[in-house]
Parts: sequence; C-alpha cells; structure tokens
Amino acid sequence: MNLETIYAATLNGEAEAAAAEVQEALEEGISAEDILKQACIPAMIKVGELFEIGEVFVPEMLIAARAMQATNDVLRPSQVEADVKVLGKIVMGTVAGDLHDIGKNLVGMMLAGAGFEIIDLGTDVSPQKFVEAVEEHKPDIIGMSALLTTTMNSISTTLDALTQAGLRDQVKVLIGGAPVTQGFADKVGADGYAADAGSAIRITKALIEVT
Amino acid sequence: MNNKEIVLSAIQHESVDALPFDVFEGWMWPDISKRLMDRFSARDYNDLLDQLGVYCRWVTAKYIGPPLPPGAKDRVASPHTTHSLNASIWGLTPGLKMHGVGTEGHPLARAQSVSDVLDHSWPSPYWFDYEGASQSAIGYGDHFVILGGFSPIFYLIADLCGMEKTLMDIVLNPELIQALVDRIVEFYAEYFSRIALTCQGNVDAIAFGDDFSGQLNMLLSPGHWRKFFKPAWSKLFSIVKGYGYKVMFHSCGSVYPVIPDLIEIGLDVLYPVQPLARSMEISLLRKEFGSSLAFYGAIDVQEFLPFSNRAEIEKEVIRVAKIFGKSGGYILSTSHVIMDDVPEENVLTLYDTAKDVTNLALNP
Repeated sequence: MNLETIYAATLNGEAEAAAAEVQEALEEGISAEDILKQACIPAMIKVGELFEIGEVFVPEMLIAARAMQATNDVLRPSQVEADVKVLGKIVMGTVAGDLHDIGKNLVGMMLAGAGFEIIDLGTDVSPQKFVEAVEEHKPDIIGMSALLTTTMNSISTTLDALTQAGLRDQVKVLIGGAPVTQGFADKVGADGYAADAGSAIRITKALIEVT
Repeated sequence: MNNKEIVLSAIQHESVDALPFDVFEGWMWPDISKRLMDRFSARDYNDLLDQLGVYCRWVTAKYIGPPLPPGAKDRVASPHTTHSLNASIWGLTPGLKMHGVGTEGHPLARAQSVSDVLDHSWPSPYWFDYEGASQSAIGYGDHFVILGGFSPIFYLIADLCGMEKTLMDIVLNPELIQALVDRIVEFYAEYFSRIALTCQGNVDAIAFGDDFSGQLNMLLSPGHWRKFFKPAWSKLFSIVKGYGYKVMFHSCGSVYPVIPDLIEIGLDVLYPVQPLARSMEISLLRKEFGSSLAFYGAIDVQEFLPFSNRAEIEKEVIRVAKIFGKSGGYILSTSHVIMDDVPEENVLTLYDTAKDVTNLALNP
C-alpha cells in the first residue's frame, strides 16, 4: 500500500478499495493530512481535469466523488484530531425559479472532493435565502447555477440583494449553467464563471487565491 | 413539387429548388404561439403554420388509456415525452413549475434488481390511438408528416430513478440499467410497430428522441452509450425503416461523438443541430457527415434568435442555406423550441427569409 494506490482507487471510483487502503495507511502511521493532500485531493483534481478535456464523463466523476466520500468517512476522526483545515467554505444553490441541479451537484461534489466545505441550499433559492445563508454561514464563496435564460436574471437580483444587505464585498460570487457565459458574468459583476464542474476546482481556488 | 416531395428530396440529397423549413417539432411555447396567432389572425395553430409556410406537420398517437391521475394534463398524452403532459403513463408525477416541464420525484429511486424493474407499472401499447394519428396525417395531405418527438430511454430512466443514481448505476449496477432499457424498449417496440403498420402511406417520418448530452460533452461516455443505448435505438430504427419511413433522431447538445453510430444504425435526419454545442457547427457537420446524413435545425435559439435583429437573421438564414446550396440535405428550423423570449418579429423574419432564400442563395 502506498499513497499512489489510494490515488488510483479514488480516481477510478473504487470506493471500497480506496477506503480500505486509507484505513491501512492510517494504521501504518501516515497522517490524515498527507493522505488527503497527496492522494485523495489530487485524485479529484485529476478527475476534474479529465472531465474538462472530455476523457471521462459524469458517471466517472460521480463514482470518484463517491470514493472520495468513502475515504473521508475513514479519515474524519483523524481529521478532527489533526485539525485539517478546509480550503474554504462555499454556499451553493440553483437560483429562484429554476429546478435544475445536476450541474450544481457535480460542482459541489468536485469542490468537496478538492477540500472545500459545501453548504447546498438546493434549487429555486430566492435572493433572500442566499442573503440569509451568507449571514449565517459566512462563506468565502457563493456559487449560483441557472439553466434557463429566463432564470439567469435571478443571478443579478441575488447580487443586488447581497449589495443591499451590505454583504456583496464579503463573498466572492461564482456562477455557472448552460446559458451563462463569461460575458454575462462580467456584465453582472460576478467574480468568476465556470463552464463545467471540471474547471470549477481550478477557478474556485483562483478565486480565493489558494495554491 | 409539393411540400412533402421537397422535404423528401432534401432528405434524400436530391437536388432542391426551395429550402424546406419547419417549426421545431411543430410547436412553440404558449405565449409566443398566441402572439403569432393574434398577429396573423389565425383561426387556429395549424392556420398559423399554413401562413408561416412551414413544410412539415407533426402528429402523435393520442392517449386513450385509463383516466390519468389528478394533476396530469390531458392536452397531449403520448410516450413521446416525459414532460408533465404525459409523464403519468410511466408512473411519473408531472412537474408543477416551468410550464409543466419535467417531473417530480423518482418512483424507482430505490430500484436495485431486475424484479424491481418488472414490478413497476409500465404503460400498455393498447393505450394509444394509432388510427387517429394516421387520420390526422391524411388531413395534412401535401405536407411532410412526422410522427413523434421525444421518446426517451436514457432520460426516462433518469426521470424514473434520478439522474445521479442512473449515471452511477451505469458503472455500478449495469444489470439494472440493462433491465430498464430492455423493459422500456419492449414497450416502444410494440408501440412503434403499431404506429408503423397503421400509419403507412400517410406518415412520412418517425422522429425518435432522447437527451443525453450537455453543451460541451455527452453526459455519459460514448462507450457506455454504445453499450446500453445504441442497440436499443438500432432495434427501434429497424422496425420503422422496414416499413419505409424516414428516421429522425433528437438529442440536445453535443452528440458529435456518436453521429457515426447513428448513421450506422440507419438514421436519416439528425434533429436538431444545436450549433453552439461543441462540435455541432453546421458547416463542419455537413463536411464530415453530409453525404450520409440530413440535418434539421441549426438556427440557434440559445443566444441568436431571441436577441438578433432583422438584418442579422436574414444574413444567418442565407449563410446556412448556402452551405447546402441546391444539393439538399437540410431542413431549416430553430435549434430547439421557440420559447416566449423570442420576439414575434424575429420568427416572422426567420420564416419569410427562408421562403425567399431560393432566389438569394440557392443559385450558384
């Protein structure tokens, strides 16, 4: 057993194998932090990269995320002990009037796998609910997803609500969804735009300047 | 040549003197339909299509089965879509938002085994008015008549089980996915056989449809699609081709990787072409597949049609028409349904230009 086999098992979505390997690694004295940072998280980042270039698809991403969750279940007690810090806290939701969520869910899984804490508000999230979530959780980033040109405008109204509540400059705003473009993101004053779940990790890390 | 003959020539890559065009799948969202009907003082929706000059008409075999549960819309009920209009026939609950599109809840969310699949309540092919479909086709006479629309397998499984579970089961529980595909195809095979037999001579094309692609990539790998879904579509295409129908197939998004597979199993017309999706630009598609495939669509509604002006629309119609010229292989339409955000002026410009394009573009 070495960190490479954990990396491979996570990457390939072999949840039971990954969890077993992680258990063995902990018993051999390897730290939770090392396992996460040198095996599990790089595996999720790699899956995201492979997804971006069209070499793996949503099933492969989902089972890799599942393997990552399995390793996290094994690591959690040791993580708490070692006080392994999360990279950042992200509140996510699909905007008001929109029920589509697979893209948002995938982004959430990828970011969780990469070491972020995710608070998922679900779908049809009103501007007010986003504002309340920022007040309650004090996240680093808000992620908003919209699938329709008709619901895209909820992104702007949510940004306005954050501004009115005096919270806009306390969070970075990342947006995505089929009709969303970089141009739209620039126009509404979002801080970032990701075209797919694979690129979300890279862009999110850049947003909070984590290397 | 009448509309039917022109469309057939276009599909068969025979020389055409006019550019055939259609309203995507024959329908529009309710508000834009109403605005256009008012604008034209149309007696009814078919009168509007006549006035727009569209070449095709879409028919469906109406639902005549047991009463649908409360909340199910009875406007159109057929297996052609899992929209809330008729989700009920599959044991799905129609969605309440977004013009009733989509479903709520997943009755097979906990399915693990073949027996879970067989225990579900599946529709009966006796529930549909095939003769009525044939009769309405006769009523459209000179037009190119298409029966169908959305008859999903992948997307239906995703509605029944949940999208994430479906995508994971493709890897983790392939026997379950195969059982679902088989059971769904068992129904479709019977349904499309009856359609094919009953509508022969009156309906010109059968349109099948699924959704398995996003804007950039397929949701599942081409390999997985070939394993589970290609054989299913091959079987269904063969049933109707045997009766002489043209075969049309729909998926939104970037389906480029499996276009050769669709050609191999007998596809005649790919609908729509969603030009902003990766690798779906129409001139490239024509170059690579134009000798084996005809295309329907290519006028973008994601960014173009709702927001462009008259001159831009005219230019785009001419541009696309010139790609095919007189050699056929193309039916002009929007890349998806015309929704309420499209100004009626833009719809009028689109179809008026298509009507006039013969003189502008088809002459070499």
